[in-house]
Amino acid sequence: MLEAHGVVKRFGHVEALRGADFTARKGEVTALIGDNGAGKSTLVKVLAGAQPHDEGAVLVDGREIRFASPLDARRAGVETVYQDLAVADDLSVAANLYLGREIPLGGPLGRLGLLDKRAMRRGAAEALAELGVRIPRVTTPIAMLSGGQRQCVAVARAVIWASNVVILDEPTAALGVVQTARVLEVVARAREEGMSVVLVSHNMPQVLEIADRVEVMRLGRRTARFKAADVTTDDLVAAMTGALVTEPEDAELG
Amino acid sequence: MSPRFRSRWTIALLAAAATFALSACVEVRDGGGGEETGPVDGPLEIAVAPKAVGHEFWNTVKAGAECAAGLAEDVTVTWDGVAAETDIEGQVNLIQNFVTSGVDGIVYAATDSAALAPATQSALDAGVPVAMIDSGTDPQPSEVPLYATDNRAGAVEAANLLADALGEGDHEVALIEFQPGSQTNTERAEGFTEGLAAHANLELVAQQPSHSDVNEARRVTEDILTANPELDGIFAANEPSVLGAIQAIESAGKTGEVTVIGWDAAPDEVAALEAGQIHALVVQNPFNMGFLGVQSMIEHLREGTPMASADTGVTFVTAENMASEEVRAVLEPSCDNPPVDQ
Amino acid sequence: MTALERDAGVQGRLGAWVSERVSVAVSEFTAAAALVVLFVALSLASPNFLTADNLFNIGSQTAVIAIIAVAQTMVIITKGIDLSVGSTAALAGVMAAIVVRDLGVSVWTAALVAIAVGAACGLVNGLLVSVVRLPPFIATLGTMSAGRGLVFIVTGAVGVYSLPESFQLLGNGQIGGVPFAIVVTALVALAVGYLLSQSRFGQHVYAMGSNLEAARRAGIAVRRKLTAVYVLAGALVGLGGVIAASRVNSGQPNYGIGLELDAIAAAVIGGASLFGGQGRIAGTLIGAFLIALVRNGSVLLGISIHYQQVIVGLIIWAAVAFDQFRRRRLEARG
Repeated sequence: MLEAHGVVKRFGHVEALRGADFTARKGEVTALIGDNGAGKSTLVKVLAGAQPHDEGAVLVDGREIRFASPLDARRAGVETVYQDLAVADDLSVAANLYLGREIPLGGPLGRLGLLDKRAMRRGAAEALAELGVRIPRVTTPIAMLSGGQRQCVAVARAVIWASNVVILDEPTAALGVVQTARVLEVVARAREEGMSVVLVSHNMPQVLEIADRVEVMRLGRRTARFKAADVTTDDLVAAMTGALVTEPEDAELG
Repeated sequence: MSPRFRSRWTIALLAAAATFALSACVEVRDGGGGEETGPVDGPLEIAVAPKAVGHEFWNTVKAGAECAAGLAEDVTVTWDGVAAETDIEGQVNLIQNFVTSGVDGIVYAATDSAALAPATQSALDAGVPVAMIDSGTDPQPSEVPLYATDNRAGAVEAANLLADALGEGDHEVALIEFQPGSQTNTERAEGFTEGLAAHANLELVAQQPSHSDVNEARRVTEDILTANPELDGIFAANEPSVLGAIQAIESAGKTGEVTVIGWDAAPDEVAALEAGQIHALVVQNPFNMGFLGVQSMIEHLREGTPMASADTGVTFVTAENMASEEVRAVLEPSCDNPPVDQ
Repeated sequence: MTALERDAGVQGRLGAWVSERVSVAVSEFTAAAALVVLFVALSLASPNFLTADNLFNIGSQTAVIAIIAVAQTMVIITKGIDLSVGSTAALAGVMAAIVVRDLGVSVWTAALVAIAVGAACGLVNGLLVSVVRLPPFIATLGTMSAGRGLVFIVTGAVGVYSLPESFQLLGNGQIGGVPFAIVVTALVALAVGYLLSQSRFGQHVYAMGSNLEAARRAGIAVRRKLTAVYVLAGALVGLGGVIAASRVNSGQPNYGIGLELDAIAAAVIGGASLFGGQGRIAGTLIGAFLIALVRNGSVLLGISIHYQQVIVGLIIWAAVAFDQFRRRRLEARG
């Protein structure tokens, strides 16, 4: 479970986040939506450890945590998939899945930094099969995969390593219909495994299809939240434009 | 001061400066064109540039130049050069910078005879007299002298030395040249082949350049020895070529089997001559080049004497004659015992 | 998943397997094929080519450029380029010669000095690239110029001569009849090849060259590792420099001008991509030997230096054109 309470983030004298709240529960997909400039990206960066916040608190499983780097976030079990910049094209699928967390060989060779490539290949193939990601071979360089396959690998990597939270920033923005469906299948698997999934998206039908709950941001705060089953696309648009507010105490601007 | 006023003020200043510069320019042109201008009193700064820094040869030129400056009064030598002989454009810029920095005279060795001709000319146009050492330009203005080795004559003699050393019978020989396209290289290569023509028993079986790089000289010599197992003699036409060639012969275990005629007299070349790895060295007189170049430049600037070209001469050094007084002066030139005719 | 998609997946799988195998190896394979063809042609054309002496000669002649090309390959894989290798090699070579001449140390100590000098130059490059964030081209261009200047300063622009015979051991010595330089080159190539392909560090080198930001986000200490690549490359260049000096038993201040181009050519012919992320030591060795064979063969056959340069140029064109072609095909698939 991932929570944010009253998070403030300033860039110079611009306040991108003005006391934002956010909650993502275990075993749920929480969609985070909002118009451009509402503060979604900034909030995601704070939650992912890419940017420190100025005020407020971020809690993982109820414990307050201050992330100094993405590495800290990862240690806390929070994995993030960015819209781009996610994979190293020249490395194989297996190498990408284990990037930064390679398996060393046992014994003195491992201490010298040599890798157990076979174990990584096997582990990668098993993990991808478990998530239902179909890739021809785990030794294939990422550059040879389609856009959807690459994104599946990126999402799979996050899901494999996350113990608590997976944050997906526009994971399907550049993908076609079929490819998007494949990525969303992987997202659904992550939920089944009991993780908190945060999905940032502009695609309202997709949000309503995959998310359990929706939180809406406007002007650096959370202004509305819904159960996905209870709302329509029109409600979401109204909330994004400020016409519909469910969290008056949050939205009250200082 | 209002911006408007300031800009008008600036324009006036610029105009004045331009007028002044133009008149100054005309004056300089007059001074440079007329060779009979009065002698320059006071301190002199003479720029001396080798083809490239980094070889023994050019350091001896430098010693000669500084010796001549030391014998005169109030003369400073500014020594600067490009890093590689192949950096022709760099040398063009260097000569221009000398002119810009206002030296009184330039003494230099052209890395390329055609490419440096305009640089020499523009120095003369700016009123800075020029003397060439080692390698001149083409065309070479009549007022610019050349103090150099007669490379062609030296190389012809190298072929004769090789023929004498090899003796009767048919022999295969090779030429390690250094910088194809440079005038000095062309003269030595042509002089050597010209000299070979007089010896029907010598056949030139290989000719490769070292680009004045010892490692490359060694590589091409190794390959030449491989290609021509019967090779009897090598003429290596400059210092790095000689050093690389003897390394290659040594590592092939052919020292003594292949007769080497070298050029120049770096310490390791002289040592190799003593050790019997080299049969003879054609030794130029770089000290004299630097000396004569700077000396006549000083006389020209101080007394208006026209500068006249001179052959700085070569000495043929063998293990037998290297102890003689005359050869020692060439091998170990110093300002105390300069190898120059005074 | 629809039936149509499944079919496409199966077909794609086979296609991907074939094109993956072919394309990854294509540059290396082409270069290797060219090497074999040239080798056979020279064996037929010159009776002196296929002799132990000549092959050892080629090996020794190629040793220095091969070691430096290996260093260059590591840097190129990180999407960098090292223009300073010639100056660094010269500086390392003359420093080794100077300590031997002035301090009378052994050739081994001199080699360590040269490696340290090279590593120091590499450290400067690495810090400029990873901390000051200069583009590698600019950072190493500066080092190339400053390094050459330093060479002239420490030598007074004169070759370092009068070295003891023992200094020649690295460049001219033998181990069991095999030239020492060849043995050193083989060990270096094996070690670096293993490091790149089998170690965590190597994996991260490819990752940084492929996508620096992705590597950073994967928790790789990119600054430290990028610097380490340049330091290691510099150390190898220093080793190459001392072998070159040892071969001619002197420290040459003019050594290595243009060496960076040979090293880049060898790496690129062997399949390294200037766009980063790709390159293998085996390929680089093939590239270095291909260039060496062209030069050796030209002298054996009495071909003028000018044609040698044209031939090397043609090989570079062909190799890079292949690389581009391969990249385009990969991108078309993606």
